[in-house]
Amino acid sequence: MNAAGLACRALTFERSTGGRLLDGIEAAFPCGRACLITGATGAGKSTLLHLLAGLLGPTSGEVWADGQPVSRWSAPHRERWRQMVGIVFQHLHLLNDVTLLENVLLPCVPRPERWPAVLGEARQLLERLGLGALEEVTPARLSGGERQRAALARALIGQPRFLLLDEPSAFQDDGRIEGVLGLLEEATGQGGCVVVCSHDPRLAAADLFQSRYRLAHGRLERCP
Amino acid sequence: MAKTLPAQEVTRPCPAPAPPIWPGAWRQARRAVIAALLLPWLLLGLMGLDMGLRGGRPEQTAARWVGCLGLSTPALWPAGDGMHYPPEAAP
Amino acid sequence: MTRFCFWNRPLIAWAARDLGRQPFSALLLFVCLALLVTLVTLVLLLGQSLRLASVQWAAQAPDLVVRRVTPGGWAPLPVAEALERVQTVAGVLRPRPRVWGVVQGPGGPWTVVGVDAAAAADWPADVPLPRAGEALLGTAGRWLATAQPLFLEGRRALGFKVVGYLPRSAAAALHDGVVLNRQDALLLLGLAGDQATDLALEVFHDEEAEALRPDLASVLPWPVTITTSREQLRRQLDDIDRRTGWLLASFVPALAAMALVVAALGAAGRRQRWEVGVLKALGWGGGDLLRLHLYRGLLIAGPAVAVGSAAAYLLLFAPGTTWVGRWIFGLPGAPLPLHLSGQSAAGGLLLGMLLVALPFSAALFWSGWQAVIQDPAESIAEAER
Ligand SMILES: Nc1ncnc2c1ncn2[C@@H]1O[C@H](COP(=O)(O)OP(=O)(O)O)[C@@H](O)[C@H]1O
Ligand SMILES: [Mg+2]
Repeated sequence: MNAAGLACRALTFERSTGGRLLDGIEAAFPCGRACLITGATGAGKSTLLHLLAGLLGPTSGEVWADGQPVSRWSAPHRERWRQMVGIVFQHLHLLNDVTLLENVLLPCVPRPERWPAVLGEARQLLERLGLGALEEVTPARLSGGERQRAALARALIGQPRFLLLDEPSAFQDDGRIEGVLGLLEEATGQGGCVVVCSHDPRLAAADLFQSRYRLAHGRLERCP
Repeated sequence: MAKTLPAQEVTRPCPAPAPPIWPGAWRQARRAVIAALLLPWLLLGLMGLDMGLRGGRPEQTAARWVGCLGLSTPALWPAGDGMHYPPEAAP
Repeated sequence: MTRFCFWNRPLIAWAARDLGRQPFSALLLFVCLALLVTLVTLVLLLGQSLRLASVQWAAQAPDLVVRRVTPGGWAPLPVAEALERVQTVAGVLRPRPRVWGVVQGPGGPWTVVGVDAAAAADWPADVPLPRAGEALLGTAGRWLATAQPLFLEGRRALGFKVVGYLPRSAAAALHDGVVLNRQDALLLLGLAGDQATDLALEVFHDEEAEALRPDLASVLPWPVTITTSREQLRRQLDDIDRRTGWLLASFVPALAAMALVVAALGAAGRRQRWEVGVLKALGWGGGDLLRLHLYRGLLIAGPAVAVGSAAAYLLLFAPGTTWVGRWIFGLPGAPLPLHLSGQSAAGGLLLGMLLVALPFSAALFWSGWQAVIQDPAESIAEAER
């Protein structure tokens, strides 16, 4: 297993209430590609992303990242894995009482070596996502789409190798989706591994995604 | 004849100011940090200075009166108290 | 590979910004900590200064005091006989009779001390030596007007003319005292002219005082109690220790409550847990979270401890704060000029800081550790559902 990217090996996750939500998932999300996972709500897409991000531990099976069985790592080591991951949660989880700019800067706060350049990068990202004028506004006062783009900027600021997005287009209008897809394309172009979960047909139609999967009944099937 | 500067030296642009590395809203926070780090040392330094200047010189007046009046226990404690001078009961 | 460094500037700045998100709870914690440090340090410093002063006073006090006792209590001492017999003991220096006692006066009991011309040798020049019918008042008597006569009631009631006051700086020696002429004091206390309250002696070395006891007791024809200045001092120091000890013990619940509140505020709370989960998902490590936690604590506790210590220091060693001594030791109202010893004050300050800082740090570390070991998914999933 030396392939660059994320991979699932017999990945199984059981609900705490019983029953398998994910059942022996086999998949590879190589670097330099964008993958789309679709599925009905409640199928377990968000759970799969949390597993890929190292937030959840699988019941059985493994997650491999760049040829390393990261899900087997002990908690302190898993931090190194999480540092390579940028994630946009379905529910965003922005800090509502600090400004947009601060929200975006947050992943880089514990990394002093990145710090001097990061403010400029954050401003640039916000500008590109059409949030340049809102950097001093708190997320509580923004629209859903703006908040979602801010969360994307927060995920991108750490220059993650693995970018995981949960329903990133849920609140976006068509014009904005182009911009978001452009950023994702750039990330894959730089060798990043992008995994997007969505049931948005607009994303399903995008050419960005070289591989598409469908999650149903705990199994991940590759779509043609 | 006035000496003229070479043209290129006159028109050379001044270097762009270094981009800020702190968000504007953090200026106050950083000032608070500096204050919080300096204040303890400042106060400790002042107290140390005061100790150095005023300390070590015993307050002799009360002690001299103790000797002068031949007191066994200073009547520091109010009369009627257990620590009162004299320690035993009055006549 | 970057070297690990505790100080991380963006993280410290964020810690301060983070405190600014809830300024009131930060301020409250600051005030509580500062107050606790002030109280604890005040008690420690006052106890220490009083100990120091007591040692100084004891050095001036007579080394030995001999009192005649009867089964009914103490009895007047015939001066001539006592002096004659005591002088036969080798090593006794400067035996001198003392006349003193407690009488009723304006506002309560007053300590009467009789002095005569023998005391005049080292009497301070700025205070008159009381002659017959005159009285010198301690600081507690400053509110009494000099124009009015002072009425005192011992075995007999007598009136005196107030001719002056002891200086304020002598308050610690004789606060609620009256200095009278020896003859007046004898009269007031009901003693005959050839009697005294007790006998004060000096010895060459402090250590001899203890050894002289049996000798003194055997030469005197009456039963006596003999007190050394060391005993007296020990009694006084014990009392100071007991009082400070009780006061410090009474702070233990407050310190424990502070630690519990800090621990609870730092670790519990859905919001707190959610935020820790989000930060972990954003790539923050356990070490980063612990440091953030410690920075936040230090940013509050550092200034709070310093301000608290400085407040205690000022209250004690800047003149004019009488309520501190009154409140802690029931000391009389006059400002107590406390001797400031750099070394012991520094020790007291340090101890006061530690007594508050240790439980605080323990609580801080504990709640920080809770953040480190927290499972990020749980708190996020909690919020997602
Ligand atoms: N640890 C868990 N215990 C119990 N139920 C869970 C757990 N994790 C996820 N679920 C349930 O599994 C289902 C799938 O959730 P999710 O992954 O969010 O699906 P999707 O993102 O595809 O809509 C939801 O009904 C959720 O309540
Ligand atoms: Mg979902």
